[in-house]
Amino acid sequence: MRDYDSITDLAASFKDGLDNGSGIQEIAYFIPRSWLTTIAAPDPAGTTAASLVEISGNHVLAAGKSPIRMEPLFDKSGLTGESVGEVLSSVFQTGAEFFFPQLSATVLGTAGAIKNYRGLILLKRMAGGDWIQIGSEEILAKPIAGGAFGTGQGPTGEPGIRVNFQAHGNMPYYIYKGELPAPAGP
Amino acid sequence: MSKVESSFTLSPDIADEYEVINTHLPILESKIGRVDFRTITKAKAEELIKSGTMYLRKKETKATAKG
Repeated sequence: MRDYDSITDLAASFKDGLDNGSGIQEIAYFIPRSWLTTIAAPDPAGTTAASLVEISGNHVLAAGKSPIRMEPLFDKSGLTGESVGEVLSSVFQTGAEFFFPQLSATVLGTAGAIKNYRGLILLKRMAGGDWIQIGSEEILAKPIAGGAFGTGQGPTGEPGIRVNFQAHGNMPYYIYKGELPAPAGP
Repeated sequence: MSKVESSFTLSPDIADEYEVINTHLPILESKIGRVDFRTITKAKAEELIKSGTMYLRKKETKATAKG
């Protein structure tokens, strides 16, 4: 079990002037665990607060494998999280909600294919920066119930499919600073 | 590090000097941002090498190969 007494710079502050827009970018990746040969992790000997969440090594894909490229609609997709658990046994529950506004065969087939995989989610904030990673080798992210799909009803309905992912961990989420090969977009 | 069969054609700007290794994929989410190996410039390739990438390397010249 990790003891945080060795962390020397715990603090909570913020800086004026930075881009801090709401939402996530429209390119994200889901990588099933079995498609990875190596999952990098934060340095267990780190002594800074940032070292608890930053991952500087590389996740390595198995030969021939590729992250699943996802293009969630900016307006209706995002990351949410909360702390859960009892007093002195708290953990974080972090989720990503991806909405795809069309019911194409590829999106439907992808949603069906990944429903029982667990792995890592990588996404970026609208404001940019490093990759946000949901899930870890210890507790993987997975699609969860609550994903929905439909044609919408009438002229103001909303056709599309929503895929929800969730993971639990000791940190709200991780910051992935490594490399990742990826497929080209359509 | 190993050369693997690519699913794309490497940018003509760097194809003579560099080779992609350890992946068959055309895009790299790298430490210097998103890179497309199909269109990457030589300047960007050099920047990528400096970042310590494990997915691009300079080809060995004949003189280097002979040691």
